[in-house]
Amino acid sequence: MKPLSKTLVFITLLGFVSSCKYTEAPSAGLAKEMCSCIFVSEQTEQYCRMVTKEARILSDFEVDYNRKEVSARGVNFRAMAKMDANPRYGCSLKIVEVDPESAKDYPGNER
Amino acid sequence: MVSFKTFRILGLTFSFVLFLYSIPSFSISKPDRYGDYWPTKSWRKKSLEEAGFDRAKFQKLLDYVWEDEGNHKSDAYVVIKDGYVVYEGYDRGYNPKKKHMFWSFSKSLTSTVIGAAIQQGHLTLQTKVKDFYPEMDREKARDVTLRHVLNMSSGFKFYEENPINIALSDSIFVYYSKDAYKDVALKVAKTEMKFAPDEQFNYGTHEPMLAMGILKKAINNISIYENFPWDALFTPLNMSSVVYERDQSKTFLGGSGGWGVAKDYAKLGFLMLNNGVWEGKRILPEWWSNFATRTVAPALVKRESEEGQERLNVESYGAYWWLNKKLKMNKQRPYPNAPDDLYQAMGFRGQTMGVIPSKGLIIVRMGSDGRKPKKKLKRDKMYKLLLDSLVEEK
Repeated sequence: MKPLSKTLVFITLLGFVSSCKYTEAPSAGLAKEMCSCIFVSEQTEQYCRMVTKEARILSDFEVDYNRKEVSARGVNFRAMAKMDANPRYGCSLKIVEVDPESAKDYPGNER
Repeated sequence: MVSFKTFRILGLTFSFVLFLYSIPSFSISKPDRYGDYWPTKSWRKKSLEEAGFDRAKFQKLLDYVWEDEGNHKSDAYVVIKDGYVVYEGYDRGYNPKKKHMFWSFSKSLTSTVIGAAIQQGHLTLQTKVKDFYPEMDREKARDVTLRHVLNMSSGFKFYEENPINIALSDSIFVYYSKDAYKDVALKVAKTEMKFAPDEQFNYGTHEPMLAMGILKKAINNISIYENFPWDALFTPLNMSSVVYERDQSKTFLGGSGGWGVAKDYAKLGFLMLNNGVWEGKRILPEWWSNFATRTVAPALVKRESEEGQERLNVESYGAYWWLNKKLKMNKQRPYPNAPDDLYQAMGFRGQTMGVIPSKGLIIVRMGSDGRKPKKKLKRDKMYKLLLDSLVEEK
């Protein structure tokens, strides 16, 4: 995607999301979809990045392969999707509120 | 000597039995065309020619399914005729063992799990939702039954896909918002009502979510509940690849969150073709296939609905299965090139399982299609090419 197009998409999505009362939804969805893609479907991270590219415009994620967990950071919360101990239940989502000050320490919020 | 009265009673009884067996829901057990065969361990195979297909015409179907011109993206394609796999192909990193996301395929899976729960006596179609969710004991909601939930006709104010702003879709909030994700079925039960039950058909992820919440409360034992889909359905059919995701309260998501491989998913189609019997054991009630895959949801056929009332969807629908019946407000069937006994499981990004009982066909197509129409597989075209290639029954 060209830089200008990407900026326009970003502004449009930002407008959409800011108009929505559930601002955590895009990051939560990203964490969940990436977790299932990597640990349930066992696709490569590269492939999963491709299929979640729309969600990643607003947020990025971090994969913990040892814990089988994917995290994505929002404004004042962190969404985590973790593979169940019994793989037949796949990934489930958890959203925790965090101190906004600590946001800068999280990889997804550095940019 | 047999009296006239006895003769008449015998005659009436015989006529009544004949009548019962003329109704689809009673004429069950097992259609003869499949013999005593169950693909529990694996599917048998046949060549295209043996199964009655014209190879050259079938190639046209494959050319379309696998076309590589930047349009739709097929990941898996399987065609089964009379229980025999006649074609299977994979692309884009998928193979027979790589699990694919079901998206809303999961709804038809959930339908079948609920059918098994009814067969085992955990639920009935008349089960009132408010008996398990007191939040539903309110105007318009208190008469909602499991049947309404299965027919996507409960009446909730829920927009599966917001036509103006996709980011405002209720289907996203109910999965991913912090006040819903822990217990999605409870969130649905608290949703504002817009219509009385059966007043309006409204396709959405919310209804199967609620169905799986109702089942959890009806079983009332988390250990039995969390094993139920496997004990009742996935294990008997040996659908070993299936992943069925849950929320934090351990309620199965129901409307999405299923994963698996194409040939495992096709076993659901074969179970329905066999009217809910597998390996001689009844998994689903005798009437279930008729209810779920042949009977249009009452809200879609109500007279007042046909006279211009607000509609959110005009495709015909059963109980978490898409049907191909022509509704009065439509000029033709949703898929005019396929027969009207076609029923489908369908999901986002082009997931499709089509079952055509009159042809003994099951087709599973898994894909990663885009959102724009030109980026999607045209299902009607696929069915046309498929049926054109079937010379045996033309």
